Amino acid sequence: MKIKRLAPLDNVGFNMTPMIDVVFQLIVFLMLAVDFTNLDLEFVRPALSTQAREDFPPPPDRLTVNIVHRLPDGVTDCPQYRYEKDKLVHPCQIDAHWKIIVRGQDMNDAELLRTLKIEADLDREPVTEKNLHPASNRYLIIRPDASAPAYMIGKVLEACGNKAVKIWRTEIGARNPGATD
Amino acid sequence: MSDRRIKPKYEESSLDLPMTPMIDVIFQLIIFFMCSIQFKALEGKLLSYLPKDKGGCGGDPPYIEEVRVNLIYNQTKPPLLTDIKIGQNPVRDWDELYNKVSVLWADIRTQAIKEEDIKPFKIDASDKIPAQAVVNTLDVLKRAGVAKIEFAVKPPK
Repeated sequence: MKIKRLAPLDNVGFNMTPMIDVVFQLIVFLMLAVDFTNLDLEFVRPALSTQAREDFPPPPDRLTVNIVHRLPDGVTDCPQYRYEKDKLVHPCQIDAHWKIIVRGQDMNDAELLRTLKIEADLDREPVTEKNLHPASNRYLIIRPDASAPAYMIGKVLEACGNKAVKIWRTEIGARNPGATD
Repeated sequence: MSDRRIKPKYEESSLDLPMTPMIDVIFQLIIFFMCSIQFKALEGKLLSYLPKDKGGCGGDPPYIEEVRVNLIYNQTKPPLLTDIKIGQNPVRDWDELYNKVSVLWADIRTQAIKEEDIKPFKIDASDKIPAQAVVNTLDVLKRAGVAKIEFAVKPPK
């Protein structure tokens, strides 16, 4: 009996080049479309608070004012600022090491006031005869490092309370130690 | 018919996949994620709304009804470097502050006829006090149920 033999199969190895092209397309798309970073947020070690509520979803267009410990140029180490296992051991009391940063910009008092005024004006209650200096509807969160000196928070609150600014919806960033990822 | 082997027309092909491009792509992805991902501490927030109808007005004389929590700088008490007082009365620690504030708040609520009569509790922190001490105070006041909290600011020069 004749056994019909089939022709051997062709080479079935598949071409990787289109797959690599597609993967590179995906990488480029994700790099351009997804913003993993948030320019408003600076690295701080937030204070712990059992009463801190979850910050989700954050109010739209909320301003973020960071109070961060940042060494000036030429300084490599802070002799005071110390944390051990995420617990504050000693705060830094050196004024020059503390910065107020809004949208990546280091701000002095005048710049902070100017920036807050511009931002507050974007969404303000209408001026009326009875209320010539209406309050702003903007939200603002202050994110101080746990060891930031209190007067820095006071500066920001003072600027918020300024007659030309009047941002009254202020929040303070804190971490709830009971929160889990 | 002679027994002859049928020679296949084509060599049997091996199905090995070139792994080099895949490894290159994986390295690209790893480098991209290493550069772009930033891990930030999970955060919450404490609402600390300012009074809507007035600006900074530091320097108000303390009224009898006003409760002022003073945080005074004391560098001998790390890590928070803070002495706590309610008015002029020293408080040993945060638990004692909570107990005293709870009692005070309950008294004020009982005595007040209208909500507007209740004066806000003021937090008056020395300049050098770390933020954690201020947040602890805020924490204690909120836990005690205090509804009106203000921050004392220095009067303008």
